Amino acid sequence: MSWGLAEEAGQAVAWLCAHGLPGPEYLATRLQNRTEVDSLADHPLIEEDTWRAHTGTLCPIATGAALSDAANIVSKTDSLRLVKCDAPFLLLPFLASIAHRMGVTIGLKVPDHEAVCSPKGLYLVNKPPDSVIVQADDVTVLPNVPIAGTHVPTQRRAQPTKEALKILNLLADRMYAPETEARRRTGAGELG
Amino acid sequence: MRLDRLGSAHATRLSFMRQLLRRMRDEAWEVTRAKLDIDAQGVGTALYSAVGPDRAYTLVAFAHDLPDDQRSDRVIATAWDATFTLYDGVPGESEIARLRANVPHQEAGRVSGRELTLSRANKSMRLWDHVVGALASGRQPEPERVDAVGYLMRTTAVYGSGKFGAADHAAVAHRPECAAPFQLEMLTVYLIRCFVMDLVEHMARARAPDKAVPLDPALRRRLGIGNSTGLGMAPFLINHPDLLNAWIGAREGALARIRSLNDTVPSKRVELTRLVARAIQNAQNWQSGHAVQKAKLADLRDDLIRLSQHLRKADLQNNRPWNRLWLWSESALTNEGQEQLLALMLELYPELVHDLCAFMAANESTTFAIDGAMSRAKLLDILRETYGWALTTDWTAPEAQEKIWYVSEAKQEPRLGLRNDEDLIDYEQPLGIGQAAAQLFEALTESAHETAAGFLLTHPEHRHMIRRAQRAAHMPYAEIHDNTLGHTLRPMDMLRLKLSFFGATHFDPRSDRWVRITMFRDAPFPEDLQSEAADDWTLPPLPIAAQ
Repeated sequence: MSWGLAEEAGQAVAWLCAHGLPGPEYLATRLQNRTEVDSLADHPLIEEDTWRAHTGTLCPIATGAALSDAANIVSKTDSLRLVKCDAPFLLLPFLASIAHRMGVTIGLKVPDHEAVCSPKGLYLVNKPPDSVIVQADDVTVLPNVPIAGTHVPTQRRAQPTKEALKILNLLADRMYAPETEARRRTGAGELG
Repeated sequence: MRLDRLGSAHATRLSFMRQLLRRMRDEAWEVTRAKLDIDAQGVGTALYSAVGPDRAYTLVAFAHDLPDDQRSDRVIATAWDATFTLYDGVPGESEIARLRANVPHQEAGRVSGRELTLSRANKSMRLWDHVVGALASGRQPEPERVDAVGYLMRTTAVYGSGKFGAADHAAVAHRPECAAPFQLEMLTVYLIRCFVMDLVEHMARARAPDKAVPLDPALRRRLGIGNSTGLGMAPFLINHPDLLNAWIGAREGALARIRSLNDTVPSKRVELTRLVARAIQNAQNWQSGHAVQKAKLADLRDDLIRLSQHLRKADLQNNRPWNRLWLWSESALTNEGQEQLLALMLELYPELVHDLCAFMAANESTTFAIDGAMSRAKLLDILRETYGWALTTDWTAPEAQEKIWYVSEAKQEPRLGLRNDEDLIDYEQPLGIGQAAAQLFEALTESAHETAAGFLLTHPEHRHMIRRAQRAAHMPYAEIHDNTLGHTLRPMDMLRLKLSFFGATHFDPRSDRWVRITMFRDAPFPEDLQSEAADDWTLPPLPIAAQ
């Protein structure tokens, strides 16, 4: 994943946590499922109002970012269909950003669950899923829907599960360069 | 926005320490020592509360008996002379017990959303023993030795927002006292200074209860808190372009306002001459053993003499005098001298400077989203405009990208390595902005996509740089216009700029990558905050004879 998308992932997880949703768990699930590394395979291929992965399932971060980038078009569309998307609740922060910037509502429909992002915040039509939705075959993005459901209050502290933290920390460890004696001596400038 | 200019910055009226103490003065904050329960070995707990108009903050300090061989300023240390947290409110006994189980372990412990900062400090052994010894024998320490070091303890980290479980900045950002950057970190250090002064006197009394004397208030005031800062801080300026833009924008705004004045009153010449004399004294007291800094200090001293001579004959009254003085400095002084002059000019006009402090914060979330509708042509224009220097750099030359930023496994801190250490390539951090801009320019030039959104569908690797470029388009000071990977890079320049905005003085680099500074040196203690000169402490006062 590129740095720019990694930034999006970080913001998305923080937004989900602020809305009491299990952001770290969603990201951990998505990253564990990720099989294609450094390729566009799981990025969206757009055919009119249908978005699908080049191969396999859509990455919700890459897809969310692409939706956000196209905010001016998305906000005027009747509906968009996303075919096979991993961890679809990770799309919500991107839809919330579009709603906020464009001053519109945007609904997200996955089987058994529906949410509406509006400039006033997030509304959940059903109660949050008991466990992380790992993948949805059919996801619908519905701009300009009426607000429905219960307003989700924001909160300050995240409550990630130990398991999600462990997975994310293991992945984060892959960014850190192993210490060698030479690096230890020069990297921080002790001898500089 | 060149590194050699940024790396010559001095503390000014805009600095965050100055802002904090002005607020505490204006709002009549009350600072009290709520507890000092330290034994004869120097082990125990202390509490210092700072109460403003709306709420209280408490520094919770734990003093430790640290064997000399364990004292290390490096981030890899695991024990310190004292450890601290800033508590949001007034902690009860159970809260203090919780903190006692965690704060002394620093990174290895965990604090909560009630804590706002986490910090630790080590004694300056060359001064601590001297001061305790002198006070215990009924004498004052030698002023020369006090001045030579400038602090009794130095912090080796002051962690803020969200680190190790502490409250996120967003949780307090709406509070007026937290609106300016780093105010809680500065408050932490200010209260640490109070604690350290009490501790040194306490230790002298413990050694000789009948004979010990308190530290002379004049000497006391000359002591700040030291700080040892390394590479961890350097990427901050690159990672927070909105803040860099806000800080430099305030500085440029203040300078422009002063340069645009048509005339001045004669007393301003007197005032400036006195400030230059103080700056000369400051430059003389400012010591460093580092070759680059020694040369810069020599430049600064020469510049200040030249400025002092110029002021004797310059017309400083009419015909935009400050503009003419500034233009003179650009040809007569080095960057060091020019930046010092800027700080002195800002001292002359609080009424033209202070309101700019309100614009030194930034809400980064408002500039995060990418404008996908932006055209390719517009993006190319922004790149030419803001990153022109990078587009003409030959990035294939080894010296242009000699260095590589990475994060070390051992302490998860930023480090700087050499690109020819090939094992590091996979770990590179995105801090070579010029190179990224040039790569984006090339890819955009070759692309058939006409919008940012279309381009990003097939080039996600440029997302980071497009976000930056779009920000920079409406933020003239968001980017350092220099190569942060090249052979000539001195991370010290980045540290110096940031620490100057904090209000630090006496930069003493120990290499090009870490530096010792002092904070709050010559600053008023809480009991003196209401005095007339409470906001005039960045430069030391002149000796009474010279006034």
